[in-house]
Amino acid sequence: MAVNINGLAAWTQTKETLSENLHSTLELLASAPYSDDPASPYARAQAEQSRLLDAMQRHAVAGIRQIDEAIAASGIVGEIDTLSKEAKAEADALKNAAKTIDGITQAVNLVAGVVTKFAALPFI
Amino acid sequence: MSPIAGNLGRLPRRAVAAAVALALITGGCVSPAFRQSVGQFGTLTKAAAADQSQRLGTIVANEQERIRAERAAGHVDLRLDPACSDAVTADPASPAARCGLVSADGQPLEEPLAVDHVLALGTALTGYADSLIALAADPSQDRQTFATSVSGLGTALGKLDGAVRQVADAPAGHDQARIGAVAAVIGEAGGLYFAYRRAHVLKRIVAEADPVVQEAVDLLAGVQGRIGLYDRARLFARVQAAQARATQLAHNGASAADLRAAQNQLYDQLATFNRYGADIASFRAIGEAHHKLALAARRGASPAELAAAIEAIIHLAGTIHTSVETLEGHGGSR
Repeated sequence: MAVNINGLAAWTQTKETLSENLHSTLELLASAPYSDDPASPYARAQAEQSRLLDAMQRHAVAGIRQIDEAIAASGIVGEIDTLSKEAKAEADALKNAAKTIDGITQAVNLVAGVVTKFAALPFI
Repeated sequence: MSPIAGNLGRLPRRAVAAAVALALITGGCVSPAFRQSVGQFGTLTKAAAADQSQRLGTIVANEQERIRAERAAGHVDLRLDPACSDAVTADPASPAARCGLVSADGQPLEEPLAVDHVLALGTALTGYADSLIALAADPSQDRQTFATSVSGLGTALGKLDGAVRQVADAPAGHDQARIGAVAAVIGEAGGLYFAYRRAHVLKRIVAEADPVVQEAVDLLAGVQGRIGLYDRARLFARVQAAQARATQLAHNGASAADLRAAQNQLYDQLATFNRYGADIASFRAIGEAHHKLALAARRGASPAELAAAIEAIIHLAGTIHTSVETLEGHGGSR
């Protein structure tokens, strides 16, 4: 059920690189002289910022797809379903056993032993 | 008097009850705090899974719109995949029944985002949480249901009678008072049995499930992080657009009122960006909660749990005492 950890680590590495690039762009934008000339450093930095934010969204989508495929390959959904069914079956059995003669018989067997122990004690 | 009874007879009654309590209940005590923690795990898990499902739905829809917009903007010539011929004749329920598109120039088309397996994992974890909650239910409901069943056991009186005869060495019969007396014991002991059984299974399942649950929450926390990146990048793009607009007005002779309006937009977008995530239940926190449950389950009964068990057994002993008195009073051999 192992998940491809190396693939997930590579995703994180790329995310951090995008973040560093955005930081550099914001540093420039914080003090660059304003200009509406598309060739100016200010306008080019705004364009790069837009490109980076777009790339981050694409990278996020790729990461979701990566985990979806990892889950499919791992079988973990089946494992949790099994545990869930076991817990539910036990809860249902307890709920029904309280109303059935089998549940009562089990309890009678138990209490017959308890009663025997107590019946043998001198303080009763 | 048997040697065992003689030895036990020298012990205080409470110590004897404690010994029986340990034998019956120690492995299966569930305190209200443990039960409450199971409930909290369930509530948080369901909230986080539902939130993630909703956010993923938005991302899937956005991605579909982006892909379609880019195809239109790029004048992509869409054609039908030749495999559609199989889809027309296939069983509608089979995977072969899907028809797709291709680009006329042979270039691969970008696949839309599919998150079926992430959603399935969220659903599975929610189902597990629901099952735990059902198993951690207050056992007093079992006791009440069981007591009601016992009192209505007209046709099963023969089996009860057999248990009574075996213990009290009493002759066979249908003495209602005797059966009633033992029924009171069975009702109470049966309730303890169900409490024990419920608690024992709950702790076992939580302890066994923890490694799988930890892996599941790791994966879903990873998805949560990626959704966060997607959402915050989009929100930051709005902040960037508001900042660019405000800067433009600051340099182009706009009135103070117009500049103030643009800057208000910037403040609002920034506040929205900074607020993101405050209301999202974290899968990592959910994983930690389950791990604590597992540790508590493996630790065994706490002193408070043992004290509660001892009290329950002493109460049971009192019921047995009353029942035996009833047996003796009705001509039993004791």
